[in-house]
Amino acid sequence: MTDALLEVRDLKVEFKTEDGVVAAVNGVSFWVAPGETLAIVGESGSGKSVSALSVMGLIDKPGRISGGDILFAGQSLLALSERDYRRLRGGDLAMIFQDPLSSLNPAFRVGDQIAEALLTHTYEKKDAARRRAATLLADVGIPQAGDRARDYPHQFSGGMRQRAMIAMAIANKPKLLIADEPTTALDVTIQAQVLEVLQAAQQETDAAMLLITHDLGVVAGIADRVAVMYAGRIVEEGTLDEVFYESRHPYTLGLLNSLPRLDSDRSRPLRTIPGTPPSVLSLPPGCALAPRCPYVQDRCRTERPELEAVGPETHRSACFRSAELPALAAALEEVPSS
Amino acid sequence: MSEPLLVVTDLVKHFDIKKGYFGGADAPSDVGGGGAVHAVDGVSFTLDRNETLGIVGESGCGKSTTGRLVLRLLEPTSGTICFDGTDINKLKGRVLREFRRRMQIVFQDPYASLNPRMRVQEILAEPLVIQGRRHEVKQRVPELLDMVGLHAEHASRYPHEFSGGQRQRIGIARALALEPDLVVLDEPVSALDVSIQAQVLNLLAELQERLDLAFLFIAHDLSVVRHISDRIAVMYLGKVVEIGAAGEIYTGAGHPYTQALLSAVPEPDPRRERARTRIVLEGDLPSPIDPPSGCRFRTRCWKAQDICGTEEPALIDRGQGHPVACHFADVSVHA
Repeated sequence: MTDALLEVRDLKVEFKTEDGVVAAVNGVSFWVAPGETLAIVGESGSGKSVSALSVMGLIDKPGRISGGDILFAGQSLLALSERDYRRLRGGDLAMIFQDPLSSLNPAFRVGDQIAEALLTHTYEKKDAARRRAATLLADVGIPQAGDRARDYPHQFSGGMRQRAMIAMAIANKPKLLIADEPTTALDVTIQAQVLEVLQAAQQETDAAMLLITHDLGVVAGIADRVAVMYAGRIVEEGTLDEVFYESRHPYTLGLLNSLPRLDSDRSRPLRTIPGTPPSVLSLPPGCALAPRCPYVQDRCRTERPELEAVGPETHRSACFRSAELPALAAALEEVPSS
Repeated sequence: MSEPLLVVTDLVKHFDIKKGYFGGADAPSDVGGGGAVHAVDGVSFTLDRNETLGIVGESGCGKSTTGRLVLRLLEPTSGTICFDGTDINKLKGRVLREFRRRMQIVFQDPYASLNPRMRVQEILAEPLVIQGRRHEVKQRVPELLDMVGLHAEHASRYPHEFSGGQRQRIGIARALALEPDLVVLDEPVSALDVSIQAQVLNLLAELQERLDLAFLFIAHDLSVVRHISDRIAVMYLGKVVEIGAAGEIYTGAGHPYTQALLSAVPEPDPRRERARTRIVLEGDLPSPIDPPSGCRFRTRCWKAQDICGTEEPALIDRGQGHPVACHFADVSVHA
């Protein structure tokens, strides 16, 4: 953990709404090392995107970071002036958004937008920046990149736009790459292309990557470690295999079990997590999963479990019954579902 | 075996591109002038009672247009749609309305497909009122709510008071109000969170058994389609490239596109993800305004040869046990 490039400590983010103050992120800690990919997984409203935006310094009113710290290369980002933050963004810190069409400026040529990123940070000559932009587009697999650099975003397909966004994000060799649902808007064959490009780009620059997604399939393909979020908190974290094969949290187990798989037994109904995620406006007093959890006990309804180590190394879970969970889950498995 | 409930034959839908602001009908097609979008180009399939046919494909393959044509929400350019032995494209007035009762649809976006100004009560009553069955409303609305796992007291609420999953349940209840025989499900779970998707899929399977429904299940998520479908049709650029039993498609896909599609599905299983060899397709989907000659997939296919550009492969069984539209289709070792 000493080699962490990014370290988020007990982060709290609040939003003021008409219905009161909402704690979108409520005490979240994680870290990423160079060359490593940490996936933050969760459903809508779990706080995963807000966590990512906090790192980029992009939380605007009515939201605010109300607690905790974000350390980047040992330096607190929360103490930075807007001017210094700007120097980091697009430089050492880069972000790829879900919807490439709304993140590219429709009025400027794709190549010029990438060149602009270069001129802001590392390049001084326009010509050189433009040539570099074309090379970057070629690197992410845009055919005839020299010509296509002069196209406008609407002339690109969805997959090409997302590749252009990746080219822009890696233009200044960032140390940290944040990808927020980078392939959610794309078709599955295009998704496969874009994920390959993203991984290649990361390997080349040895950047740390923070991948925000709801898609456990994508996570299984490219993450090294995983943090699962639920209702503004991390409920389980560990290495990819720990979380997928030795899960110690009922929510993670529930998610994995509820996914239809290509080879699952079709005659059996899917095992579901009953109910719906709680509103962050009215969180239950104890564990946020308690109303939906098949293993709930009285204690879970009144007391909130902290994230605690459950394995030899980095595996942690926020569940009172994490130790007995594998046995409990196996017992539940034997009961024929419906 | 009785007649299939739905027989679709050679269905074609071209959307004409009208003269626009920037270009006349003779302007190049990529600036919006002339030609037609070949959305659906000769699609045939059948659907039995109590059966689910999944239609998969990527954006622009024509799967949603096919669903809308089947319900006659769009008029086909050519081809026939026989529902329970009757060609629905020839129907008008009262007879058409009776057929409409028997075919319903559930949309993808549970936020956009429910009128925000109507209470659930009115949303569910509307189909009955339109069909002149107002007297049934009082009894039927609580029944429908119960059927989809909601409570009778929900009837007085507005759509915004519900979560996405609950809204989709309301959409399903509305589709079932008139006791249809066929329900077209157009991406019914894509907008829902993972933990909610499974609930809705289970509900659909249960309702199908109980009410003897036929489903046309349109989706881009192959794992979801595989789970719910008996048979699967894979579409690419307006055509069905492969159709067969769900198990066969997954274990013995003969068409290169089906194989690529399957290999691209990310699976929530790290060991398998590490072990897999993914077929990554080159390039993007060609324009449906000017589709490639011969086989439409040839521009991205690693097996393509000269014949693929000149001769369109027919959708026939080439030893796979199910029809495949590829000159060089794989004959699988799986049975």
